[in-house]
Amino acid sequence: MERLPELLYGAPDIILSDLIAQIERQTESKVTVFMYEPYRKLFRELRIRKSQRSCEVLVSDNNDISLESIDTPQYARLTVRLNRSLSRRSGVIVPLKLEERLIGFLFLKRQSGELPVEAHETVEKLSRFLDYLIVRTVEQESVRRLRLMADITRVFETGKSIDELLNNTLAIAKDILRVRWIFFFERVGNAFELKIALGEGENPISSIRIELPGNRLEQFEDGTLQVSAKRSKLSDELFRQDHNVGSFAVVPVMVEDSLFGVVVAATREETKTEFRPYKHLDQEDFEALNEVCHRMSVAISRLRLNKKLDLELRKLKQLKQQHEELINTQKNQLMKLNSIQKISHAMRITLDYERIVRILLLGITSPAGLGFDSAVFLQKKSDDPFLRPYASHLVNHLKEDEQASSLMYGDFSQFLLEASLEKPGDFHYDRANVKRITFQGNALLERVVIRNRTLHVTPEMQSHRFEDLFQLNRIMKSKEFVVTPVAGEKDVLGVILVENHITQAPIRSSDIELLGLLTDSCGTSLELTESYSELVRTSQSLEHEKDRSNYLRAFVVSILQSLETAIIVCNTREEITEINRTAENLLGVRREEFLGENVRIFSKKLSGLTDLLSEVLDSGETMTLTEQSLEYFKNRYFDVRLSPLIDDESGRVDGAILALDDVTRRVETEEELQRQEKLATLGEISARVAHEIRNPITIIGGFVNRMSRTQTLDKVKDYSNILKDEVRRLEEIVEEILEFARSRKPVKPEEFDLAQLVKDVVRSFDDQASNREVNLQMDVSDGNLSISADKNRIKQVIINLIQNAIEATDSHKPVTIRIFSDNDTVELIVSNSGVKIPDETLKRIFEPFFTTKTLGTGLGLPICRKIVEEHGGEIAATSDDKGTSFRVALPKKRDEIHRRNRGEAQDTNR
Amino acid sequence: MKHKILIVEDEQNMRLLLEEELVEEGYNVLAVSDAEEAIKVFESEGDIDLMTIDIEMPGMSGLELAGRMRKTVPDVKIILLTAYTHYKQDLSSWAADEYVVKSMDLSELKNKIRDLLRS
Repeated sequence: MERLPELLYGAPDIILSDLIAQIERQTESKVTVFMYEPYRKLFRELRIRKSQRSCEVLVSDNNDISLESIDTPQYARLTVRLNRSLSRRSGVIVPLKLEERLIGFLFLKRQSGELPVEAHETVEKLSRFLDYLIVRTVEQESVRRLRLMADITRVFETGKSIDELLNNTLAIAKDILRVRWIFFFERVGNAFELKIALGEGENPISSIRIELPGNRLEQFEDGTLQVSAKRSKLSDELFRQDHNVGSFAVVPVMVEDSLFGVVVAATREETKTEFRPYKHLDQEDFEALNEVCHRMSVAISRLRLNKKLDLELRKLKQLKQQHEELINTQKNQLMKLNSIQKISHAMRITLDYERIVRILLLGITSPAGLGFDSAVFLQKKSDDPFLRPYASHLVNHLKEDEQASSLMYGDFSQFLLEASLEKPGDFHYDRANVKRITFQGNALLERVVIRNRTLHVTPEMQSHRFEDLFQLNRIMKSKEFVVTPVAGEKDVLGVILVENHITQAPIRSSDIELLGLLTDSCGTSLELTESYSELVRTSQSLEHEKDRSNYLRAFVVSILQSLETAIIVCNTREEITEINRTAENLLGVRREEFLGENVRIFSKKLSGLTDLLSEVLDSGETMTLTEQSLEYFKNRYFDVRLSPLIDDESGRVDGAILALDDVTRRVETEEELQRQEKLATLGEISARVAHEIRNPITIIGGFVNRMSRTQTLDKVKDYSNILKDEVRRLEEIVEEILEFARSRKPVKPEEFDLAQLVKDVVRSFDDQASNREVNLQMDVSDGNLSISADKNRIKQVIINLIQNAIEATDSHKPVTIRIFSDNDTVELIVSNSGVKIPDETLKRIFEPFFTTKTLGTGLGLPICRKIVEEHGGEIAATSDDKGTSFRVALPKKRDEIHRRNRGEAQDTNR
Repeated sequence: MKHKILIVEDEQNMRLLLEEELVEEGYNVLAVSDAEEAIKVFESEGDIDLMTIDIEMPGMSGLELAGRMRKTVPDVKIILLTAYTHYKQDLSSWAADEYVVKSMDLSELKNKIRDLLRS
């Protein structure tokens, strides 16, 4: 008994050794102990020392012993296996039994089965001790496992995550099974991935990802494959080729009826305190691991469920929060709707445009109203193509308390009405220097202003509608804002811009809807105001009208009387209804005596004017006579106007007015003036003519003097040629002057082809052109180039222009003449290749006597112009670096010429 | 020694008349038809004592030529010869020593030339 503690706590091998040594002594033979392993159906040599290798004796038919035959000590020959080698031994087998249960046997190296009596006792002692050891180990193990299982329970209770749970559980399982390694493979599809590996020494796992065929998976799922074999197919799949794994167990982890993963425990390790006849994992170990895995599955399920529950709970909380927010929003909306009613009321009872706008701005920005940070009102007048900033308002957070307190005591409407009146300075438009905004052609603004839609500008819109938003962005401070039309029944009256640039609060669609309600209400109020002020204006203007008409009547009468024009008014019966003072004096009568008399009473004094008055009454048309002389008033001239009096409403002729202006003085002055002008013109022309002929006269006189002194005939001939030249020149000058000075004669038109005429003229210039080596070119277009005109005069124009062109062109350069038709006119363009005429000269080129040439009167081009204009045509000159062109346009038709001539004739008669 | 006179006159017959009359008076006479030519001749000849210049000429006018000559050759005598009387009032005629209106009687011109060359 005194040895028991030692036996319990650490040295059963010493007792064992003692007992075996005792038997050896008693039997005088070498003793070996074989323990029965029912699990593997063999007997294994009990190793007393760790270094000892243990032999096995298989229980099989071909061996010398069977379980039944081991009953009493007997001589036997055994086949013993040590590792891979077999050997035969012979000796006496003594069964170790306890209450008929076979524990194992002793192998004694001797011949005789007879044993001394004391040896039998010792054998029984040894049996008991071995049994005790086995039972004790099993119990100890059970207790230890129970304790560890309790630990697992704690782990399950406290585990927060699946990973933590797996790690802790496997650590305990490793302890329970006393294995060197424990692994967890998680199932990923058809494969298993190593997730947890606990244990010391080199990891024997072949790969962190192991693919298994489908049928093996099914076996796991069924729970049928529960392996604990040292050498098997699975072991080749799991472990490296050179692994040193002893026995191992594979147990599935099923979570919610599907394979979650497998736990692999490998290589059982012995401890000194433990007595177990074999060292591999046994069925109990396997079941213990199975139990652990099963409990772990439950724990994992629980964790998953917890997680789900947590999620659900969170969702529920969120829902609750959303619900509360919704209720708050609705409450808010309700409050705002109420405010809108108040704001609308305030706007409705205000009949002042500016104040309505202010109330709107206040309502939008007030925390008690829509609560935006700022609002700008852009005015749109009906005929204005621009939006113009009118007023703006910014929320003033400093004054919120003030507002709140004022709201406590009064109605919001009342507050708005007062605030809109008190502080006009708060509404000054103070944004960037934007004076007007163009909406036409701007797709976004047209939507707002023309189609009456609200526009919500978001930061996302900014980049792709940059151009359309450019103008608004100059006003707005935020990237997000709302543009809402303020529309009445008929028209858009303005635009409201709102934003939250201070709080940066997002603009919700409900806010925009409320804003729409408010702006609609504002539009109606503004329209009402316009109607109201229209009404006020109308009634005021009616009163003005009345005053004015009284005033005008007095005014007209006094004017009538003080006019210097003599006026006689009669009705449709030709009875005189009014005579003014001037008429009284002219006719030598008194107004009162003649009112109501027939106007024909003056027919002698007014000659035929009374008859014309009757005509005017009949026709209803106005007649005017200028500078008319009347027989009765000798040497006097009158401008006479006879006009009907027409009733504004019926349009009927009510009477007639005869107005006589004495213009005698004016006529006399004009006549005098004309005389003076003629004299002056004559003087100017004479002066010019005199100068023009002074040169030839000087030359002629000079050479005549020389001729009288000269002796030689040759000289006389030379001089007389010069004299001839100069006399011809004088003649030309006289002709040109006469042509220019002749009065405008009516054109005597004949129909001819202008192109043909030009061709004839060009031919006559052939010699001159070839002498000067100038190239004359004609370019005549197709079609009818006939005109109706005075052929000789037109010819004169053509000669003049071609002559000028040839003179201005250097040799070998072209002069081109183009003729073409353009609608009602035929055009002739004569171009030379001469030097550019300076602009100053070009301007004066058609002035009479203006010339830059040595010889010439300066009348050629003025005469051309005169002729062209007589035909109702036009002449113009242009000049550039390429040369100078004269363009003549002549009308084709006679009618045109006649009409123009008549018009000009009247002009000249005046 | 003969005095040298340059006639600037665009009209050929007038130029011929003046040339013959002044040669007869015993002067050495040169004649050109415009101002540009006159400047060229002046540069090549140099020793010209007197010029008669017509005012109305194509290109540079006689008044402008007179002004230029007065600046470049201050001591040359200049007579403006023209059909017009009103240039006498023109301030730019200051450059000339004398102003003669054209007439069939050339004695006024001859007298003025003689007076100017004598002084």
